[in-house]
Amino acid sequence: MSAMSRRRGRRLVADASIRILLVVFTCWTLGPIAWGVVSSLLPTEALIQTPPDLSPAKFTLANFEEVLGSGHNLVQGLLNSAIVATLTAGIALVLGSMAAYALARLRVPGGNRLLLIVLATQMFPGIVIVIPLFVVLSRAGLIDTYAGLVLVYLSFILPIVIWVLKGFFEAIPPQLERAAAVDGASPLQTFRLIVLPISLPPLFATAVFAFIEAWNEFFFAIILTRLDVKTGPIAIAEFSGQYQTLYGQMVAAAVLASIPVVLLAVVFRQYILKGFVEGAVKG
Amino acid sequence: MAEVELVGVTKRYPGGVEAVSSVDLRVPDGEFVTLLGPSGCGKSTTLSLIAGLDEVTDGEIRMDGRAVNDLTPVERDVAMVFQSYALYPHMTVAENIGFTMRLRKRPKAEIRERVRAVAESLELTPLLDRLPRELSGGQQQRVALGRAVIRQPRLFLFDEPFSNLDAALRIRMRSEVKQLHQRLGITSIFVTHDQEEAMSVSDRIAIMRAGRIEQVGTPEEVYARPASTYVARFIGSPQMDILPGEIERDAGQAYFRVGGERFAIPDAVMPDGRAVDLGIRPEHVLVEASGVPATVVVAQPIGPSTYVTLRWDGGDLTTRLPGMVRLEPETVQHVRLQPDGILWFDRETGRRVEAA
Repeated sequence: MSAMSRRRGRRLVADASIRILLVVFTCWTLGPIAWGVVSSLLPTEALIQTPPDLSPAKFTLANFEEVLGSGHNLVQGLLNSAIVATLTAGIALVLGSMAAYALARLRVPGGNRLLLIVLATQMFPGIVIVIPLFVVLSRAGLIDTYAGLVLVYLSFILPIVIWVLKGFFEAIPPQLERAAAVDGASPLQTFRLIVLPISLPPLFATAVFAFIEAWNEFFFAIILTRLDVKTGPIAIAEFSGQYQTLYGQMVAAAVLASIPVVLLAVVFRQYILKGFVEGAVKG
Repeated sequence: MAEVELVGVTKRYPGGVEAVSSVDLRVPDGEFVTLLGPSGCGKSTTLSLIAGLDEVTDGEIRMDGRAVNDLTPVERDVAMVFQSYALYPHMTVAENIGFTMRLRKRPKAEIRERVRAVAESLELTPLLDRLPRELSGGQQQRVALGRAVIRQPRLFLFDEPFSNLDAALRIRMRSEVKQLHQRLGITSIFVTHDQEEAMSVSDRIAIMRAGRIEQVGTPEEVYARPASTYVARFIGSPQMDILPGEIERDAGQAYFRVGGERFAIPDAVMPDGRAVDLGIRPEHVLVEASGVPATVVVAQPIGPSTYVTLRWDGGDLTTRLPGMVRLEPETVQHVRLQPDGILWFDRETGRRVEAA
């Protein structure tokens, strides 16, 4: 009896410490974001005081009004980002899923070597290739265009999409596809009617990943764009000027830029989780 | 419906592994044939070749006399049931069963009607709107059967369909498949490693070993007249005993000596006096006072009979006694070999030899 209650006590302690750790972790991750939201609601004068003046009377939506106004490029920047990120995610998903399926299932000559090459492209730091890339894109007339940016983003997002999806496709029992072949499905029908529907969770997860990568990308965007295709992150960076940094507006812009990503994660959360929780077939 | 013929069929994988070696087999129209063997013997590969899911390296597969090597599974018009059922997890039972007709662009009403009829015959009607993961193993297996029977194919292929089911269900499904075959009369090829399953459902059994067919015959033939010690040991449970020994003659009576004892046998003269082993099944080992003394090692009652393992100096044997018998270990019994149950196998090749 006492041994049992002691064991129960120990379990309670273990339970409580895990919860406390989780709370600490959550604060640690959400803290900067919360601070960002708070500071976006404060005028810069209140922010740069030490300590910052957090009196509720100072709270205002002025930063948001200002950044959404015509004086800044933020709206156009976010629009550009949305176009580039959507195109990148869409193309990466279509090309990536087909390439991954071919590499996972069909006999591709030199398939393994191809995969390694795909992986090897990931090993160059962006800074190494950005100058040659700039030259190539400018010769092709692709500087400051959607096409140029999407092309560059695909070059590093597509390999990851291929590797991730290949793993998922390989986990599908081959007997499913053999059954489909006996039922009369062509390889393309098998892919479309069997493989894709049961791979929806991983497909959503990789699409969201590709979108966020492209949405947040800064380094290539600042070098390969000038005016027309300037993306959100660059518009945000421009709040930091030579003579002053508009912290309040900058953070407000950042908060606005995070909203689509947060929405994506919330909307697709159940699919992304499902991808991990649910096995395809009992084997 | 179709007659299927395999002529010198060989499957070699890149890298040189030969999974199927020059297999010849003829399955007449309407017959139920089982490919039987341990895992890795090439039986499932042979089935994939017949289905058209894998390509033949050498040889020819014919259906009704026509070579089908280059045809797809659909063109061969085969239906197949897989070991893991391979149900489409995102489709309901009805969609799973009707998938093949949907691919054939049949009208929706016709598909619904056929699915309903098939579900009726397999007692799946209440489950039509469920997803595979909501079904028990036995129900999933019946859906897999339904998917195969919805169109009347020329050929049914079964790849170890029951090995994921528990023992009781397996026996029930055996009889369902056999009834299905009796009702539809469609040529069927069944793959299993379970000799009892093979015996109970097949018209004929092809026993495979290392990519080759060791023997083809009716269940009676392969049981009573196995072509080799391999077949003899594979068919029947418990196994046939194969005793190494020498033939002796003494005062006009022939004996087979195994270790310190000898068993009386009908006089047997081997062609070219070659060395042979004696094969005998438990039901042909008789306990009789006039027999050879042997001590009981273990007695295993299984209901209708009891299997008793007996040992003497230099050998052991299993006998079957009727009913549930209690025998204490270390007690002595006397056994005799029933003459018409004795089989002879060439000691070197393992092939069965007929005694003159």
